[in-house]
Amino acid sequence: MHRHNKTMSRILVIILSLTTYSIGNTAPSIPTQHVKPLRELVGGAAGPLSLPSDVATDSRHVYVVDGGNHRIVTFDRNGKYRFQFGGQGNEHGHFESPVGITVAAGNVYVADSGNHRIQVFDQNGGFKRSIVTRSKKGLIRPIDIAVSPDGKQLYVTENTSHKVVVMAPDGRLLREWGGNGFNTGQFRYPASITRLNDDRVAVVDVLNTRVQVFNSSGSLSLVVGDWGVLPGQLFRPKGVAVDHDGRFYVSDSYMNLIQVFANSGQFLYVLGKSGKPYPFDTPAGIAVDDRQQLYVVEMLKNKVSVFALQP
Amino acid sequence: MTCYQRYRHLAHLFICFIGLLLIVGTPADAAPRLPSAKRECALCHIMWLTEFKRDDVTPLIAYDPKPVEKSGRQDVSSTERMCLSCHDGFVLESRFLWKQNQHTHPIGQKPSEHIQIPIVDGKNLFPLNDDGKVYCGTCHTAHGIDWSAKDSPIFMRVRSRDGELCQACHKEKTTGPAQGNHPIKEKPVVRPGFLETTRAQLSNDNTVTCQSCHSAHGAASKEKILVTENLDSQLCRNCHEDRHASDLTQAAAKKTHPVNIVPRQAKIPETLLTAGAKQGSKGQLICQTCHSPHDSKTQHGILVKDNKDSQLCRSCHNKQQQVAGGKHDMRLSNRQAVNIRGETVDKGGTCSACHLPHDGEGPKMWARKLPPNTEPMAAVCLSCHSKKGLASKHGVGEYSHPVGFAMGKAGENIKLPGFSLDGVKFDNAANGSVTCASCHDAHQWDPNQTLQSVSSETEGDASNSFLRIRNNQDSKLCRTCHKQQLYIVGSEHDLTETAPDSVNALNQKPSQAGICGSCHHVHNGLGPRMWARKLPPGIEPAAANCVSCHNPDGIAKEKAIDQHSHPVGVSIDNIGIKATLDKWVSRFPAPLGLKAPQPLPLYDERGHSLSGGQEIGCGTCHDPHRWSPDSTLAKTDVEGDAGSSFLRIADHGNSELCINCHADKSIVKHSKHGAKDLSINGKSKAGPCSNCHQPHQTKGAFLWARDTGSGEAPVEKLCTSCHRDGGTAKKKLTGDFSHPIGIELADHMKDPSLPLFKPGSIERSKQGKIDCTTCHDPHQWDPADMNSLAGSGKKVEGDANTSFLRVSAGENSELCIRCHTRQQTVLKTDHDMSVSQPRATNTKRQTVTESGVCGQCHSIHNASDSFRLWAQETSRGQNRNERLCLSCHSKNSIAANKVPAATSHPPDVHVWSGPSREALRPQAQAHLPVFDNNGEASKTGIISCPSCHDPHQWRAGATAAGPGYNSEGDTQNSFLRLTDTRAFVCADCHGLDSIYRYKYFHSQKSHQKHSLFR
Repeated sequence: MHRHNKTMSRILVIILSLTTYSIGNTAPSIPTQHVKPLRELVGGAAGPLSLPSDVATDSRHVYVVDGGNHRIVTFDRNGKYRFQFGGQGNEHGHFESPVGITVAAGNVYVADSGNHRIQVFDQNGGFKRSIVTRSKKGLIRPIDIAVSPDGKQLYVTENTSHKVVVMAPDGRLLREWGGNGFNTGQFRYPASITRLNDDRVAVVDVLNTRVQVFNSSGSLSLVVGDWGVLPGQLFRPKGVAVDHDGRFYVSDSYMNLIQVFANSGQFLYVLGKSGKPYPFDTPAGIAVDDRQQLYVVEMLKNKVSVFALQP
Repeated sequence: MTCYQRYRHLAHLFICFIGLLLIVGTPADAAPRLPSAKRECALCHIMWLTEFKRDDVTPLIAYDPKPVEKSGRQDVSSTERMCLSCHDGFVLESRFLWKQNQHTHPIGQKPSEHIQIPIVDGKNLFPLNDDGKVYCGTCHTAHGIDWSAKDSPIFMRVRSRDGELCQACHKEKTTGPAQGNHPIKEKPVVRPGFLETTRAQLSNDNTVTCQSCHSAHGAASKEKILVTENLDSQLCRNCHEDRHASDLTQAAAKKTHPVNIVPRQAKIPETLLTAGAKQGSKGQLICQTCHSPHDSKTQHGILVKDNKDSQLCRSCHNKQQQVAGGKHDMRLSNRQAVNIRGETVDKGGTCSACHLPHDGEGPKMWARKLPPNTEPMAAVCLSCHSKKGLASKHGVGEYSHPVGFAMGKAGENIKLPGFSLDGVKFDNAANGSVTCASCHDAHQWDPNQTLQSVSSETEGDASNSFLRIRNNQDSKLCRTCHKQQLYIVGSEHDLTETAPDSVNALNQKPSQAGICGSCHHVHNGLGPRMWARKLPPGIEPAAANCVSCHNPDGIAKEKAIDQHSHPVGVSIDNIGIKATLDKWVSRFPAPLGLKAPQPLPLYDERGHSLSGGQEIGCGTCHDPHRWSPDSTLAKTDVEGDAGSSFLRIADHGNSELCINCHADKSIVKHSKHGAKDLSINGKSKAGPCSNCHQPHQTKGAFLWARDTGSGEAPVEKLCTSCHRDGGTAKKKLTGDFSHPIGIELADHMKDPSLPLFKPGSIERSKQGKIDCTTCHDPHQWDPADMNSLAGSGKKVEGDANTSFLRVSAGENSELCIRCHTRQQTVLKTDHDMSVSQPRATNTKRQTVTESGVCGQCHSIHNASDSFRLWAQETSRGQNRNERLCLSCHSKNSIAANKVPAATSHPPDVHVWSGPSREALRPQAQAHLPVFDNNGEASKTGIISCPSCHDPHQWRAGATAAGPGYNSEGDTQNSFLRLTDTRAFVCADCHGLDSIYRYKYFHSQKSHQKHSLFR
C-alpha cells in the first residue's frame, strides 16, 4: 500500500512537473490568418441596413437579411445595390423580424421568425410561397434554414423546442431531432444552419457554444468548438459557413471574431493578423461563395464585410 | 504528513488535473454533459472564467471585468454587448431595442433627487453602477424574477407586469390626480387600439399603468420614452379619442376644446409655457398645453395651472376675459344658476357658466342646455335669451334677423365673422353662416370700450349690447354686411329725408333709429323682414311691409297700392317656373335667344324670403333699397319709370322684368301688339308689355293699362280698347257678323282645351263662356311658330294660320274643330275646297290655304251674312238655306256642275219634321229638318237643301273625313242625310214616286231621259 502510494506520488509529481514546466512557458500567441478585405455592403438606394442578421449568395446576387427593416436587401456580387423586397407585416412577401436566409434550388428561403414561417422567393424577390413552420408540438419560431440541392428537404432550426425540423416544400414535417439539453445531439438555441458539400448540415448551438454536424437523417457526425474564451473555443457562436475545402468558419458575436476549424473539427486559426483577431463588431450570419469570398454580417455596424479567403 | 493529509493532498492534485483537462478541451464525442454552475454563470459573467488568470494561455479577448460603457463603469455581465449577444434574434428577438436604442429608459445618469430607490437589507434594491449611475443592471438581472414567472418579464429585478418596477423608484408619479398625476389603475372608457400596434400595455386588470404610456425600451418617442409620439396629442388620443381633434371642425363636432390647432386669436403666454404648458410640433395647442400628466400643481384635471375662477382659460383667452364684470358674467347676474355639470359660477369659474372644455352640449363647448330644433349656434344664445331662459327679458322673437344662411350671400370681405354649424369661426371670409355671434361678441359689452363693468340692470342700446360694431344712426353694423342696401341713402325710402317725422313701432324717428332701424328691428320685429312699422291687417305677408306705408293713409299714400295690382301671394309655379333660391327654370317654352330667368326673391306664406317659399311678393319685383337697378344713385322727387321705381330689373324697352317671369309672353314684341307706337302716354322707354299692362293702379282685368272698350264679355272689353271705331286697331274690327262670344259651349261639344271664362270674369273655367281669348292669344302672332317674326309688320295681314290664334284654323281648321267636332267630317270631302276647288276664294279673297276648310264657307269675323257667318257671296234662292247652297251650286259658280235643274221645293208645301213626323211615319225614323222663314230648323216648315243634305258629311253616318278626292256621288253618299230613300221626307207625300222626282230634280242625265217631266 505504501509502495503503491509512493508510486502514485511519483507519477503525480512527474505530471505536475510537466504541467509546471508547461505553465511556466510564455503563453502562446493566438494563431491568426490574414484574409483580404474586399468591400462592405451597407445599403443602397433603399436606405441603410439596420441590424442585419444573415447573408446568402448565389451566382448573381448577395441577399442580406435586413432584420431591423424587416426586409431583404439584394446586392450584386460586386457589392452594388440591386433591389430590396419585403417590409414589416404578415402578408405574403412581408416579414416580421426575419433572421436566417439561404439560397438553393433557384429559390431564396427566408426564416420569417416573427411570423413563424419560411417564405420562398425567386431570385428577383418575387414571392413564391409561404410555409408555416411546425414541429410535432406545434408552431415554432424558425431561426435559419438550409435546403437540399433538389429543394425537397428544408432543414429549419428553431428555438421554441430547440430542434432541427426537416420539412417538405409543402410544409409537411418529415423529421426532427434535437431538443433542449446539453448533450451532443441536443441544443440550447440552435441558430445558423448550413449545408455541407457532402449533404451533412452544420448547426450552431448558441448557448452550448458549439457547432454540431449531422448527416441528413439527424445522426451526429461531428462537434466543432467548445465553450470558453481560448482559441478554438466559442462564447456566442452565431454563424457558420464552409469553404470549398470543408473548413468551418464560425462567428462569435460576443468575442467579435471568426474562428476557422478544419473539416475534422480541429481548430486552425482566427481570422486576423499577427496574433491579433480582426475586430469584427457583433458578427452574426456568415457565408462563403463559390469565389471563396467570405461574407460577414456585422449586426451593430449595420453592414456586411466581404473578404477574399485566398490571396 | 499523515496518511489522511497525503490523501487530501493527492485529491487536490487530482481535481486540479481534471480541471486542466477541462481547460485543454473536450473531444467531439465526449460523454454526456451536465449543467455546470461555472459554465452557466459564465454565460454572462464571462470574466469569472479562470482562463483569464492563467499565464499559459492567451484568451481571445482581454480580461476586463469592469468595462467602461456608455453608462459608465460596470460589471461586464450587464453590458449592452453582453445583452445583445443573446437578444439579437438568434436566441431572443429584441433587435427593436437597438434599432431605437436612443428611446430607452435613461442610463448613464445619476438618479435625480426625486428618485427614492428602495433599500433592502441595507442595499439598493435597484443597484447603480460603479459610477453611481443607472445602467442595465439597475433593473435587469438574471437572478431576480423566477424564470418560470408567467405574469412578468424575466430578467427583471422585481415583478413588473403592472408597472411595479417603475413605481418602486418613481413613486411620486403614481399618486393620482389629487396630487397632480395622471390616474393609474383606472380602466379606459374604450380599450385603446394602440395596444395592438405599439408597446403600450394595460395592467393585468386592464387598467392604466406606467407602461400604458411609457416603454422602457423601444419607445416610439424619445421624449419621456412614450409608446407613441405625443407632439400632436397622439398618445393622449388613444384613450381620450372623444377629446381629440385634428382641426376646429372635429373639435366642434366633439364638443371639446380645440386641440392640434395653432391658436389664431388666443395666445399661449410665455408664463404658461414656463409653468409647464407644451405646444405641438408646429406651435399648436395640444392636450399638454393645458394638462400635465405628471407634476401638475392642481388638484383637479392635472392642469398646468390652477383654473380657479377660470385663470387657466383666461391665460390664453385674454380678450374674452372682458366678460368678467359684465352682463354675461354670471357672478353678477345669476350666481345660483348651474351649468350642465351642476356647477355654479363660483365653483366652476366665470367661463364655466357658458363653456366646458370637454363634454359640452353643442357648439362652443356650451355649458348650458340647448333649445331643440334651433340653428346650433343661435341655440347657444337662445339657451338664455328665450322666453324661459335666464335672459328672458332680452328674448329673441320670431321676427328677428335670420341666421344659418351663408355669410357669402352678403358679399366678400365682410368684416364680421361667419360660423359653421359646429361653431367654427371664420373671420373676414365668405365661409360660414350668419348667426348671433356674427354681430355680437358675447364677451365685450361695448365694442369701443374694453374692460367695462356693466350692471346687470343696465339697458343696452345700439352702441353697446355686445355688438361687434356700434350701430348708431349711421347703421354701421348693418351696413357691414348689407352694402347693397346702402343705396337706399338719399332715395325716397330714406326716411331720414323723406319722412323725418314718421316713427317706427318703437316710436323712434329716423334720426333716432337710423336709416335701417326706421324699417327694421333686428330682434322682435312686427313681421317678416324684422319689420319695424305697424303692419296693415288683411294684407298678404309678402306685401304687408310695403303696404304699411304705401296705403291711402300711409306716409307713401301718393304711391298707395290698390287692389288692381299685380297679384302677390300667388305661386310662381302658376306661370310654369320651378324656383329655388339660386335658380329658376321655366317649364314653358321660351323663344330663342331669351336668357334663363334671373332668380328673384319669393316668399313663403308667412312672408319670409329665404325659406324656399314660392310666392310672389312686392320684393319679387322691387328692391326697396335701390332706386334704379342701373344706377347706384338715389333720387327723390322724381317720378319713377320702368327703369327705376325700385325695380330689380330695369326695362330697357323689352319689358325685361316682366318677361323674366312671363317668358312665353315675350314674343309679343314681334307682333303688332308689341309695336312701340302702341305705348301709352308716350312711355317709349317701357317695353311691349306696357302697351297693354301696368302692375299697379290698373284700369281693368289682366292689369289693363288702357281704357277699356265696349262689349259683353270681360276680355272683349279689353280687346275693344283698341279694336273699336277710332281705336288704335280700328282697322281690325270684328264686323257686324262675328262668331258669338259670351256664350257657353253646346252640350255636345267636348272640352276644346281652349280658355273659357267664368261669367263676367277673367277667371278661367272649363264650364265657362267663350271670350276673345278663347281663340286668340294676343301675345303670339303665329301659333305654329313662337319664333316667327312675321307678325311684326304693320301691314301684315293675318289669315287662319296666324292672326294671334291660339291654334291654327288653317288647313284642317283645327281651331274650329276643337269645338265643332261634329263638323270635322267635312274634311277631305267635296266641300273641302282643298279637294274640290283649291283655287276658289271666299268673300275675303282667301283661298282654302289661307282661310282653312271652314273658312271657305264661314267667316269668324266680318261675315257677309249673319246666317251661318257665310263667307261666300249668296245667290238667289227661295229661302236662306237655299241661297247659301246656291253660292256655289249655281251657274258660273265653283259647283256649277252640281246644280239641280230645279233647286226649290214648292214653298207652299209645309211639312212636318221631328217628333210630329215620327208620330205619323214611325218607320221613317230619321230626322230630316225643315225650316222656317229664317232658315232655322223648325217642327214644320219648308223643305230646303239641308232637309236632305248635311253639307259636312259625304256619307250618311260618317264619323271620319271624306275620301280626299272629288268623286261622283250616288244615293249612298252625296252629302245625303240618309241612304234609305224610302225614309226621305219626299216619300211622306210622294210615296214610291219620290225617287223619280228626285232624279228629275237632281240628275241632268235622268232629266233628259224622261222628257215627260220637262
